[in-house]
Amino acid sequence: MNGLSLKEYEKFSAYLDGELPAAEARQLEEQIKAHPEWRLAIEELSATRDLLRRAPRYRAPRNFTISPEVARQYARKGWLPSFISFRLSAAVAALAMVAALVLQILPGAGLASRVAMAPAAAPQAELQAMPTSSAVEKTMDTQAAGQPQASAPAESAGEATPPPVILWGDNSGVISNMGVARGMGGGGGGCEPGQPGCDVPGGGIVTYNNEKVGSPMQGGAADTIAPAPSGGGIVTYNGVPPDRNVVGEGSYIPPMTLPAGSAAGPSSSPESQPTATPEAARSAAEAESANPILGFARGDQAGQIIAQAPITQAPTAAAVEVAPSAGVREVHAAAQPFWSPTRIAQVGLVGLALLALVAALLLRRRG
Amino acid sequence: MDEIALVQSARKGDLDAFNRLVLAYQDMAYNLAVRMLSDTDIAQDVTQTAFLSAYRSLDSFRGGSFKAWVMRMVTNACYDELRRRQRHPTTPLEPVDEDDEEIESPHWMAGDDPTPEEALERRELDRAVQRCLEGLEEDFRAVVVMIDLEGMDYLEVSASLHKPLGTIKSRLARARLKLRDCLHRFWELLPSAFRLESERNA
Repeated sequence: MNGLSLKEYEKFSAYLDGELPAAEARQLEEQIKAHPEWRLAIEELSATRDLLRRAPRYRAPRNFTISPEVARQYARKGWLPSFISFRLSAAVAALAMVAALVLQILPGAGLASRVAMAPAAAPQAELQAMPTSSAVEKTMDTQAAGQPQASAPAESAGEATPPPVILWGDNSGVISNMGVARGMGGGGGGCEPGQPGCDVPGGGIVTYNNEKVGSPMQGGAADTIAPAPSGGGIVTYNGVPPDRNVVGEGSYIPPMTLPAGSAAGPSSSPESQPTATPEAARSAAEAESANPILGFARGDQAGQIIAQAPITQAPTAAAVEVAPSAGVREVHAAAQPFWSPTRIAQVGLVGLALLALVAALLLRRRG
Repeated sequence: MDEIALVQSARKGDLDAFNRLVLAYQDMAYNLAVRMLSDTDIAQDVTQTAFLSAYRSLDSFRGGSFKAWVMRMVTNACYDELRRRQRHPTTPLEPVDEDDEEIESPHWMAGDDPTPEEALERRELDRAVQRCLEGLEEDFRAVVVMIDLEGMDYLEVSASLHKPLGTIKSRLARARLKLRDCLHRFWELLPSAFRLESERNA
């Protein structure tokens, strides 16, 4: 390039075509006088351009006019075909795929389908049997080792019959504050309401920390852990708890103890167990007579079973409804079919995306 | 009838008006296609396709230079063909007969009844230019063909290729530089009239 930069050649090229602004053209002409190599470079570019201009032109060997027959065949594009262009089709495809993914991720959407695919709930009669299975022991071990709450139900759910969901007290704030997940989660994690990972309904053990009012399920002591009945039921409790167990808006969470058949947890790892208060121990002793839920069941108010909640490997609080007027929580695990509205919408969106993709490719090919 | 009126009539469905526009630009369109594709037969198909696309897309013409708009149709059709060609082998520029011998003085080349010597010189120049154009990238080739071989101005090319004016200038300068270097290899084959001044003085 004779030491000249591409920028200077761009200037020379535009100068040759008269596309350089007048001021720049005058400045360039002055520079050409001082730089003979610039003049040579411009001359070579000019000669190349002249050579190209002298190259023969090709004439059309025939007319490319359009006959009426062809014109009818290639009918003019209307508004719709021009509107549904390649770009629009591509955009539709992208949006549809994003919408389908969002539906999958949204809480309750994909989860609902998982609940729907869960096994049927166990009969309510199974709730009478206390869980002495390995699931409970596993949960206890996990809790003693300081594992997060959610891991315990995940393990137990994989091996044993899904345990029930147990709700205590008569205040709707219990569910909302504690969350069904923490109530059933084995008690170890110290989850706060709304904390991620704490809203997973768990493996059938309800724990209660009576040391800290307002933070139920936090740091549950081993001797206040009550295994839930097997069979995947939901139990509500309307008992009147001691004053120290006040939770939220007057709702109460009674301390619970393990049944005799499942005492492996507390004794196996005492160093990791928080100390229970004397009140809690006394309450737990009183509650042992109230199966399946051990707590402050007061006669006819204890342990009303209202629904079965199948808990899957990824248990959720899906389809939980609270009926405040009844004074008893009603928890429903809605058994949705595989073709739920969400699933249908997802499949429809994916189908739309595929159609738009095909349309985009066809339009692209046609140009 | 001027071009604007023809375009208006064509948009209203007047096929004759559109065909008059086709006749006005078909040589330019075909020449562009031949220079871009180096194949006269395929250039015919591409030119016809481009005019059909133009007819079907007349409603999308928003005014401005109709020549630039039509050339955009041709350029797009050429790009499509080049993409298709990448998946399939191509064919040479020179028309050949049944024995693969190059046809002398092809009838499709424009000329004003030149003498045999002039025709020979033009053929040599055409071959050299086409060989060098083939060595350019498609985007550079389109710019230099439209400006130096078709005589379009920068703005028309900018509108045709949907590129900023600065991009057109840059591409043109690069293309001219590459063509200058390439054509140096053909100097001795070209008649002295086509050689560069510096070469003649050397």
